[in-house]
Amino acid sequence: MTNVKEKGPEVTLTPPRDTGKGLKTQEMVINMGPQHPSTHGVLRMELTLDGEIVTNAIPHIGYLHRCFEKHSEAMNDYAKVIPYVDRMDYVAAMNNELGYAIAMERLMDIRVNDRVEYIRIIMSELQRIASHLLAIGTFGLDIGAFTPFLYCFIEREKVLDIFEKASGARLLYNYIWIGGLMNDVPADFKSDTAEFVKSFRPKIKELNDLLSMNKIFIDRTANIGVLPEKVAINYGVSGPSLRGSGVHWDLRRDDPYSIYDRFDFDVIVGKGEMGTLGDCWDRYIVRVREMEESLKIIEQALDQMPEEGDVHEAVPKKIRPPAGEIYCRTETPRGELGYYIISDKSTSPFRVKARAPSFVNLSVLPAISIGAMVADMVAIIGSIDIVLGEVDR
Amino acid sequence: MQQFLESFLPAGPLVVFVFSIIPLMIILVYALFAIWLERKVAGHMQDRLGPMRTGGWHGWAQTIADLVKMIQKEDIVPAKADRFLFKMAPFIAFAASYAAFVAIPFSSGYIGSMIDVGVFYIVAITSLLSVSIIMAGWASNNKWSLLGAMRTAAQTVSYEIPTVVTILSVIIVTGTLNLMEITELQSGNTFLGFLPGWLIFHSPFMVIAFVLFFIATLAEAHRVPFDLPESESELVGGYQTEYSGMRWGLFMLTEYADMLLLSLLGAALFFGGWNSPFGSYLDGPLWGAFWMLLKGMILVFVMMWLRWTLPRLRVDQLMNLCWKYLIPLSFVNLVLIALWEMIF
Amino acid sequence: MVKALTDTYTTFKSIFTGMGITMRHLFKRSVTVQYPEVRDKLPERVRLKLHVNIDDCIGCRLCERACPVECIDIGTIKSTDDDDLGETSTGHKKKLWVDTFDIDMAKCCYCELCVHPCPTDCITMVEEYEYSAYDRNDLIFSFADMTPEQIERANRKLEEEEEEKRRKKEEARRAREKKAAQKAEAGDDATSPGNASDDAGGTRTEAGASGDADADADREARRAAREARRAARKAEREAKKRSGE
Repeated sequence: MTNVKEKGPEVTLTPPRDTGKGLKTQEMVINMGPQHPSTHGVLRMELTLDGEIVTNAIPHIGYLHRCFEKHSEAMNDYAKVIPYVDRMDYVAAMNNELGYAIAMERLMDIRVNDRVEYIRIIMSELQRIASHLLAIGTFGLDIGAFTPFLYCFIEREKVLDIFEKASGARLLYNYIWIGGLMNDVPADFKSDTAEFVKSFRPKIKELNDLLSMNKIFIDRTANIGVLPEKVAINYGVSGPSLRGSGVHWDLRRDDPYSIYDRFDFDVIVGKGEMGTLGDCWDRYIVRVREMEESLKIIEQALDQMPEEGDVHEAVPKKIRPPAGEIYCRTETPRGELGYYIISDKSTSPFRVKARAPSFVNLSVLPAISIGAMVADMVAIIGSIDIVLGEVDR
Repeated sequence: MQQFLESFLPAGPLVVFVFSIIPLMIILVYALFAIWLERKVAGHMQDRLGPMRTGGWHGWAQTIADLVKMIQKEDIVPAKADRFLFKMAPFIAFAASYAAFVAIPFSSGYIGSMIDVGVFYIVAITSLLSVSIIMAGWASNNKWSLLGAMRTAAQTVSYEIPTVVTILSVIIVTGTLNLMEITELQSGNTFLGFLPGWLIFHSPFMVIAFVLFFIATLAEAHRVPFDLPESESELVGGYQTEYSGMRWGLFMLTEYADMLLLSLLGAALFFGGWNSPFGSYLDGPLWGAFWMLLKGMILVFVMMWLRWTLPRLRVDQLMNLCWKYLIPLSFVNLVLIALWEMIF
Repeated sequence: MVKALTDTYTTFKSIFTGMGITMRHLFKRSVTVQYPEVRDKLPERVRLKLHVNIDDCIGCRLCERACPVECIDIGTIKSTDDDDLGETSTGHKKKLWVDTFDIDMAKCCYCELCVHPCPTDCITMVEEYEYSAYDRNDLIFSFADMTPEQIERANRKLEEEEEEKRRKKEEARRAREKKAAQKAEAGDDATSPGNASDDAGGTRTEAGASGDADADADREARRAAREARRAARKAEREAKKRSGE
């Protein structure tokens, strides 16, 4: 039988070292994943360990590949792609839908009315909060703090309740359609959201007390997995992971889509408060503070939202975009999500390519994890906040 | 107690058997209760309910159901494992922590054995636990298990030093290693007339000694924030990764028995053991057992409380904490307590 | 030294803050809903299970076409002129027998794209979520209420009617040919204007259809595949039933 070798970078172990006392030490290769509790899905890391120190880390992906792009091309209707888009980054489905809808609207030159715009913004900011809550909670879980995870989930449930009332689904909404929304928000949407915003602010403080400012937590995350500004930009990292390194870059402000230019909010960047700029704690705290900014946007949007407007007004009967191509990028909770869509004038897309932020952010992992310990590996993966559904698509 | 049993039981060996089975009963009942309590505490701290169904009232029978399930499970031994060591490890672990209970004075009328070197015996016999964990980790032939086992070895060996040094500061005051005598010394009121004569009220340095002792025992019992040997989010399950069924259950039982053992030890050393907090009121052998177990359970509860609050330390930070903080502090504290003893 | 002391202080302070928070939560009301006994009130838009009010279905297949995962399977038979299928509750005239309306809830992705295009609002999402099964085939819900006899009858009637129509057409053609022959016999021009216009019409329709020819072929292929699938599934189910008996 021939020895079938897996393609990919070869793992080279250093030859056994003699410690001088007749004992020999050797590096150990260990598989972290695909069924490891802290790899956030089915990521497999091939770690080379010297004791507990990581000397090499190779991520292997593809365990959750579902042919998103080919599936989209097989659809005979552009609207049918939206459920598939949902399943890419399944913890931030609204943002994925928004990106796709905006791309299609730009391609077809559709203008949606203000009410739709505002509802979309509120929904995607709520989704950002929900997604960050999950990221923060699971990050705490990776570090070993179990309780904050459940506190985060309680709050996330409240957001999902709002979504469920509006769309009928809790995770994969298919709510934002090309040219509009699936249906108008229910009558108590405004009061529900306002109530959530009000009740959520104290919870952020509680979370900070319980987790962010805990000395053990800081010790575990500060100065770990430092991602310098230059490296982050070179690897194309985006989203909170990039801002954690101190780069002022947020597509909501720098390339405003939808109506983000109407809101007043700050772009949160890491400052290296607890250690080095761009460490795990910085990436973590950027997410916590971004939730507060999202609350600000939601509040403003609730104030400005017009009462009138048909959400189906601009929904095209038959989606047949003119021949052409478009690249449209939006800021999802994980970073820059870009859709590259080519239309050949038929009803089904010729090509749909997604630039998934998780995938690009994951690529930086080997660069920042060498020299860390196994326990830090877990923290680094958690702080980059990948969703394997999006990495593999 | 022994005389009492001999008065109505005929033969000598039977008396010894009944006598020695009592701690086992206590451990088993306690473990069932403690695992249930841990679930309830975790649940309610996280705004959940925890087990609610099995047995009716607040899921009191959940642990029993789990136990029945674990006994029924298939006994899996990995193909490439060292079968003998793999099978032996859980028993040694449990035997070690069970054997330690022999020197714990549960009440004025009951102690397994009046060993004159009681504390020393406990410290010595609990070290066996790390041997069994290394056995388990090595025999599993799993890299994660091995990492967990290596961490355990380092952790247990390091944290034994501050534990022993803080115990030593108690010994300086009491002048005996026999836990029964240490407890008896703590009866009556001493300080300010109303505080019980527990050693923790003996001097301010005793409080520091207790804090150091408690931190060190947390690490000895492998509880959060020092649960590195099994740290499920890093090492999958540490040394337990390949275990299942009742063998895993025995490890679990050992963990909880260890918690109780160290809490009872803490209660006996610092909180007056079976002495009533109200002087001679509510005193006596049966009340003594109650007070002892209550004090132990309170410390166990604090351990649970910490577990559901704190994140976990990293292995090098764990070592730092031990060697750079706990050990120097406990030595300084030992000297200070000795000076206090000399002066007062 | 000072750093060590402040570190110790912050460590203990943060630990006690955390312990305070968890202790507060220990006595807070928990958020758990004891599910089978207590049930959350679900919002009215929940998407839990597809339901079809078959009386209102006109067999337009819009839902089938909208489904991104092809979990809806509809079969229709044209009704004959003498059959009146009645109207739907929304006032649409029914023209097709719906002999199959299967929804495979195991495949369904709950996107609700099928609900929106329905002209008679007969396919809806309902609040029913306890329908898990041990067998995947048990998750195929059939909504069509036609009995095999009715289907048989409808098919037969359709065939008869088609036969009838074909016969009439044939007769008409023959009559036309006869006429043409008579005309030709009468000594007129060989080419008939009627035939020429027919040809022209034929090419025109062909030109119009060529654009959608691919799509048509595609649809035909899919339809054939679906038919085959349906047959296979039916056979399987029957085999199962037999083995079960």
